[in-house]
Amino acid sequence: MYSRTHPHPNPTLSFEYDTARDVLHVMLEPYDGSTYFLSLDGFPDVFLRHSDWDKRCVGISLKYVSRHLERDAPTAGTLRQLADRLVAQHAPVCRKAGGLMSRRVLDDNPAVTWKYHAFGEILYVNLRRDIGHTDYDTADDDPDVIVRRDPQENDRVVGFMVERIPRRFGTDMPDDEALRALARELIARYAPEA
Amino acid sequence: MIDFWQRLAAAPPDIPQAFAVDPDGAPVLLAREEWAHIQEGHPEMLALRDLIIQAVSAPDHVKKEDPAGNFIHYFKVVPPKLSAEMSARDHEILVVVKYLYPPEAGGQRTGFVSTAYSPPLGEKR
Repeated sequence: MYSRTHPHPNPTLSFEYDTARDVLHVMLEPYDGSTYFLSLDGFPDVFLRHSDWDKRCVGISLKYVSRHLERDAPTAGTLRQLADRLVAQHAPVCRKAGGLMSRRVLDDNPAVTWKYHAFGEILYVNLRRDIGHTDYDTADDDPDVIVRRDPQENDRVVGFMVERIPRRFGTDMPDDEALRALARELIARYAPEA
Repeated sequence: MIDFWQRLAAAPPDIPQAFAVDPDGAPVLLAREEWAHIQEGHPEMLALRDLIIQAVSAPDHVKKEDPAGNFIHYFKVVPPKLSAEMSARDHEILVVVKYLYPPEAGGQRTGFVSTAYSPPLGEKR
């Protein structure tokens, strides 16, 4: 694996290319604490990097760099140009971003939403706008899946939580589409009428 | 005396506030933004919020989620009267704490509440 932090003419910026994961990390400020990643809505391969301490956005990361550059083994100069493009396009959003993902509509039904809580590594899927009080039943064959039922509505399934998402997908930067697919799979299995 | 919840309400939304010391002596923190996330996803926790503090400082049951103890689950049984308001089942609260060694805390082991909810008693142990 090759991973190296490169200097940038702007001293507050630095970038690092992780060859094993094919991810470019751009830091907008020097930060040596631990971080988590939130996908940027509308940009499937772009992630905002947040401080675990106060959730502020400290950097921008891009997955599938080789695909974006249409070449393997990119040079430092090429990576720097890509880093500059990421900063120009997304740094203003990063600087204003909160540390939590807003709910996103899964498909056509606006009441069915999902949200990835990256700090806690939990995917939340709600099948109605106001989840309210629910009971929580662990799935028989998957201890990381929690089925949420409304005891006031004959135990109707109204949502899901899926814990340990990085372990499930082998990455702390799961693709939105993978999370959406998991949500659809749970709905098909436990609440096909939703 | 100002209680933790009043202090949290007055704090900046993103700065975590210490509310308890876990059984191993590590401080455990919660930020206002995180508390808002918990209330949105698990509205029952508003009525049970003082149990969050008790669960961490004097848990009924503790479960390490990984050998290093990076995620620890703290459980506290919900009193029957409050439990009955949720459903016919008995409940406990589960507080999930993520442990880090942040430079802002001098590199000391520090816990952060990542979520809290009220599963039926024994469901998540």
